[in-house]
Amino acid sequence: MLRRGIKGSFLLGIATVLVAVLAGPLLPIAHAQTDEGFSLQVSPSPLVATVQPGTDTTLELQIRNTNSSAQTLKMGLRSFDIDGASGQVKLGDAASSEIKQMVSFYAPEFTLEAGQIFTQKIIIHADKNKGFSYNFAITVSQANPPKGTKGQSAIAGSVAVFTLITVNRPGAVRKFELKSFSASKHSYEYLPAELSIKLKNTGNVNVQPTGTVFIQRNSSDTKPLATLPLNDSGGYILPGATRTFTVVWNDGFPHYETGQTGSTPTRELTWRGNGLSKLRFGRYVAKVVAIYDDGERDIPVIAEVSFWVIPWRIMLVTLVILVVILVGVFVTIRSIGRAARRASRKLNHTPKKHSDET
Amino acid sequence: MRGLRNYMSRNRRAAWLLSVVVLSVSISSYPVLILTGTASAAGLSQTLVRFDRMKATTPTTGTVCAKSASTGQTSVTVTFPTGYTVSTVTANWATNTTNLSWPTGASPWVTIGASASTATGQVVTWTSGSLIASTLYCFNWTNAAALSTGTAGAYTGTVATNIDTATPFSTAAIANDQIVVNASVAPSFTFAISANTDNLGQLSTGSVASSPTPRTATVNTNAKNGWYVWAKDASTGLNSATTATTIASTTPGANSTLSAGTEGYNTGITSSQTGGSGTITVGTAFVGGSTGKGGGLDTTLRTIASSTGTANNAVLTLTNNASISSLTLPATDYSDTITVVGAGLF
Repeated sequence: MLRRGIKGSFLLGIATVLVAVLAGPLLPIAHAQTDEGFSLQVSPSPLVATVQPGTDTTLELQIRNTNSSAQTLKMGLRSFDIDGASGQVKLGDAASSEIKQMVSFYAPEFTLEAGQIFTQKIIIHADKNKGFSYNFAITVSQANPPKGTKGQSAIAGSVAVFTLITVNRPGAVRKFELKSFSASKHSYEYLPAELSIKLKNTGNVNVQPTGTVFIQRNSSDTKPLATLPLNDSGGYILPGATRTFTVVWNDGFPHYETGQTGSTPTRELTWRGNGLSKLRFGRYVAKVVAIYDDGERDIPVIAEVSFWVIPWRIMLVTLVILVVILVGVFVTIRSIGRAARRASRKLNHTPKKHSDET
Repeated sequence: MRGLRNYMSRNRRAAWLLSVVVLSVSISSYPVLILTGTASAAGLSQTLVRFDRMKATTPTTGTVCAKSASTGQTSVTVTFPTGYTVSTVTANWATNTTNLSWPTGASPWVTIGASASTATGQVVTWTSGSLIASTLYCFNWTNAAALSTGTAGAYTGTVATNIDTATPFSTAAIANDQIVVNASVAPSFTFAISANTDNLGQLSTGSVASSPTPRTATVNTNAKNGWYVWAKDASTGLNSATTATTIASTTPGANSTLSAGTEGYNTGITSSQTGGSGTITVGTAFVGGSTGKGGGLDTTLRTIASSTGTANNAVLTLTNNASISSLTLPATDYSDTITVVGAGLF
């Protein structure tokens, strides 16, 4: 009986030790994830690639644990949409079944020590016979997200990587049309002038517009006053989506500079610059030449808009100064004239002694 | 015969006198010859001609340095290596005396000509001031149109002054003298949540409770198109499992300010940024900044903030607010789970 008890205690002890040893590495991770926040770096973000249909293409996503403790992470997929009216990106909860079938991860779940970098391999298998582009978000989130406990709320973190896949197969149409080109105001007192170019992707693959906005005095000018790049940040327009690109012309004297103090946007008139040669006044024409590559050649899309720059306060001050000067000149001339007349009158009234004497 | 003897004796006297004169002249001129010989034999004690480009057949600027044991110079002449293409346009040989990593202790060349006085064949001459003996002087020729290196190989040239004899220098022209450094920087996105818990403490009807230490979401990215942060919660409010009640999120999608004594729950957001090209916009519904102000979360991911460009330490401060009414059921387990997602835009 005693022997059996000792044997039982011994087995229980071994079991306890085994459980402790096996669970040991997991416990600190679970603890770390509940209290020590979440911090990740992903690169590249966004992930843009062209894949061949009917074959596997492997993409790489570098994930670095920038947290101070180990993190167990899991990969996921989400859909996203562009709101037609606001242009806002809406992140969905789950990806479509087509995307789920098409995308797989080399390591769906993994643990990274603090500072550790992991290169996740993403395998894309695009159907041979359908689809020209697939756009979705790859998420990297906590494998064991914190859950609200008694009287305490939890905050779980996650990073999404927008993934834009173009399938390289015949029938792809790269095309956009210019929906509108406008200035934010009809007239500005000082620069910057803000120009909006709204483009709609009417093709079936993602397009990355390029081009230039020329600022000119007249529509037919061959030498522009300024040449501003369109979409210099390399943004994409998804099939069927509309995107507004903003180009700012601020090369004027003076001009407003914008900034941000805390969450408050700031705007300050700056007098730095090249002085009078950059004093903008009058009517200007902005001409946009937006370009896309249809697969054979570059196709330009051209439009123009005009706006005015009227620095009325500078004009008013100049006018006042001119009036003051003119008045001053007038008063001076008049007083000189008066003095001259007075002097001549004096001369006329002075008795001619010599002639009297004679 | 006597005549012959007289003639001989007269000639001997003349020859003797001539010999004396020649000897005297020789002796008296001997020190002069020695001095002259010494002057013409003195070379420069140190010379350096540095070509800024050593790649074969490449236009180059450069530097000339020399140290003399003498003074009184009025010109300096550089004979460039045969095979180098030397401009004969004197104006191309413009100079300056800016110290461009000259040898230690080198001084600007005294009154070096602004451009060459002559340039013929391989020989280029500049006017010069008198140098101080045993001092290293340098000047640069500043126009690459003046000289092109030869084909790859070893070369010699000389430097001289009107006082100092030509002293050789060696150089070489090589196939390539530059290392092209390439690097790429991928677009990256870093997202951090300061902590995973938020305890609002014991709620009361007398006041609106707010996060004692509001949690932050921090974005760092070089993505030029900006970034987005979305959030949702698990149960559209603070849920108590034990009482099966929820302090519901206040009007998700619209901004609100909670009042003490009225049940409500929302999240207010403020933002700041150390640097970056982006301007942060907090979602209209979630604008916070005062007690109880914010927007309600629900189970749909909603945009809580976005930015138009890169971000260095863009911080969103998330303050959760809750208020109860006198009818709110008592429980110690009111809780919520908020999920915050960040992404760099395409």
